[in-house]
Amino acid sequence: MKNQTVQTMTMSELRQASVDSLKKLSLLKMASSPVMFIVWVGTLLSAAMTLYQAVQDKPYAMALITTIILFLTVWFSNLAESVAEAKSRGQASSLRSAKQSLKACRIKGESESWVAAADLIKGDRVKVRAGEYIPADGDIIVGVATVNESAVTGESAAVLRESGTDHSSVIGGTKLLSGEVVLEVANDPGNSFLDRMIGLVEGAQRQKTPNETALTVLLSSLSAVFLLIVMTLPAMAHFMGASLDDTMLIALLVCLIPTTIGGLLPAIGIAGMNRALKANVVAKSGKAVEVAGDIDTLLLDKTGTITFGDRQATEFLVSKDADSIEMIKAAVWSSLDDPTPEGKSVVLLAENKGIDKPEAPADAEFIPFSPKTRISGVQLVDGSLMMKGASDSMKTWARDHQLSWPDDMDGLVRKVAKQGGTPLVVASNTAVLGVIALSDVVKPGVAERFAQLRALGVRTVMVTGDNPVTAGVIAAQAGVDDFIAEAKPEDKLALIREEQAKGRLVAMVGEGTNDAPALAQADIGLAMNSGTQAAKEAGNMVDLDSDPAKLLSVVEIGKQLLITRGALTTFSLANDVAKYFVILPAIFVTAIPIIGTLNVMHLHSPQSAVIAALIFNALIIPALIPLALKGVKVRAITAEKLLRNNMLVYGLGGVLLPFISIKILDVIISSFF
Amino acid sequence: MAGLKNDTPWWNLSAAFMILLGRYLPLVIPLMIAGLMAKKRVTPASSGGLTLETPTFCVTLIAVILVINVLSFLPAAVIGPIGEALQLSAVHVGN
Repeated sequence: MKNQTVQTMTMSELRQASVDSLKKLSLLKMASSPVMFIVWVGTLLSAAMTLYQAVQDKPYAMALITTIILFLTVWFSNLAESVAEAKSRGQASSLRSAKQSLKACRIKGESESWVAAADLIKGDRVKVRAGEYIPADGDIIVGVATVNESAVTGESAAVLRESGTDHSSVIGGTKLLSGEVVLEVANDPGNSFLDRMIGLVEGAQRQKTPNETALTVLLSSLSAVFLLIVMTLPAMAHFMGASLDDTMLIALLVCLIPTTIGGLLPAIGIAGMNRALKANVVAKSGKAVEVAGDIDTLLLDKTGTITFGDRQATEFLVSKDADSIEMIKAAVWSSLDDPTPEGKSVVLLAENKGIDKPEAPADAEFIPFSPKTRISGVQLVDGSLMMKGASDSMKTWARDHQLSWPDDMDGLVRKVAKQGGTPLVVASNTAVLGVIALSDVVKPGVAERFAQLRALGVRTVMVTGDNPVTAGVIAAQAGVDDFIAEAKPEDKLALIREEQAKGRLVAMVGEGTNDAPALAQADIGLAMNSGTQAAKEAGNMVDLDSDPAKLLSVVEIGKQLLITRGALTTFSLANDVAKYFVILPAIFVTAIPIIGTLNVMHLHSPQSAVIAALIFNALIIPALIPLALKGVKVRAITAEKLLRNNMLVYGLGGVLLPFISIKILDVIISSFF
Repeated sequence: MAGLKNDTPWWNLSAAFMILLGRYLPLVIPLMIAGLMAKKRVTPASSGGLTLETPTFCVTLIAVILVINVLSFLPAAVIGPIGEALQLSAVHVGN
């Protein structure tokens, strides 16, 4: 699906966000963020002081300016949250439109018409032909077909689906390879799993995640400490025989409490879910995204995640009686009209070996693969045949055509099978020629990704039903840390429990109903959208693309969320150091003039210094909204390097930036007075 | 603080109270936090963990301790000892 549409916000969206952010100003809503609540109370107090001073005919400009800047601080913080929410709404609606792209051929009585898949209602009858995608979940009522359900079941071989049997149900989004069926749609629109997930995103009934709660507690205690400091100051000053200005004290408090992170915290959380959504992953809660960042062990199915779901031709094994060029040519001819990935890969492999794809003559008769014969090929006008198929079917075919079965054939077939591949026997009308080895191919880039995850401290474990030999070969190629061969579904559950008992957090991908218990047990259960209902209910995330490799992205998104939060907290606290050097001299200088020597930045006047600090404090929130939404860049480096980099940028940078910014602001402000 | 009479019930009691608060609270609270931490899940060491015996962590820890403490005590220090010192030095220079 296309996400570019929601990357930038339109003006109307921004206007909507501004209005929403004003609605969040009620004291009740503000109470959920203690830091901003203090600022809001400070704003109201400062406003009251302005009024009081105005009524008393005292100068009130300073109090008024403070009130306005404080109000803007609160509003900017609400704006950050509203902008993040608006983006999330935009994404949900783009999901909805992407879903409507599948088309379906609906049958009503005798007539057929093409409609959008989203318009299908329960009980509709739909005709699906070979090569088309099945538009919705349903049951086959007429016909028999082979379906590639590799995305759902992880099984790379095509499955047979037939009306009136146990195997009559098909899943929306899977591909019909051969045959033609009529199916009855099982769900009403808006009732599918995807629809309910979209509703969840749009509802945005966000709850604070545990990590967010912990950080809120920390920020609140810091705020309480600063509140205590500011409240004790007048008493101490009184003891020294000085009196302090109330507006200045409010300004000091607001500058000290961590308003930057307090204001951006909700936006960071929403943005985390948004980033997951942008990757086409719907998280059932913000907590799930966060937990993903702490995952220690990834349980990965071999098929679809590490290898392509479809098997591909990797080798031509020629019988000792046949010529290799003749054999490869026969393999290519028999695959010319084969639309399956297996067929295409045969042609591709031959091309790599220097045998070009021949032009199919118009009068050639193609014999398509059918679930009954399990062989396919081509018959040319001169009567010559080139066929390929499963070894036992080809044996029968060879016998029917009075061809001898070479003695080394069974050996070749066994050899391929032993390496975990699928053997396809190739024959012409004159001889049985050889075997095409179809086997799993490790996806490109997977090994690098695992290496990156290892650097981030995530262990990968491959789970496969293959025999240990094949599993070992693939595991070595992909560079996983460990593998489990001949695994049954219940083995996954046992493994997850074992890892969790050691204190590790485990993530896994699942599709089938038999994966459901393991999905529920895992800390992150990423269900495939094409999977069964039970799997989707059990997991805490759903991948709309049904791409198992997405789990790797999910972990990265989670890490990014946690690191962004940490970086901005550091930045926010580091800012305080500079603000102290600005405000403390300004507050005390009228009472104790000698403290003016602490005005190391040579700011113009106490008033201009405090206003500059407050403006910086307010403006830094909208300035950091893009970073909060986009997230801090996560690179595959060790935790120590990550800490050092982020401490230098957000810690040291957070100390230095306000010194420079406040000085500049002070110069600008003093030019007005 | 020459004007302070120091053997009055008010002085003794309030000072005692402040010692309790100022000395034991900062001791008890970290112990409580440590107790809560001990109950938490122990994450097994992995390559993704943070090694503590590194200059990076050491500098970070010291910086955090310094910043938090400076933020907590600087205002009182400025109005008290720092202000006083500045005043004294000014008087000294003035003479």
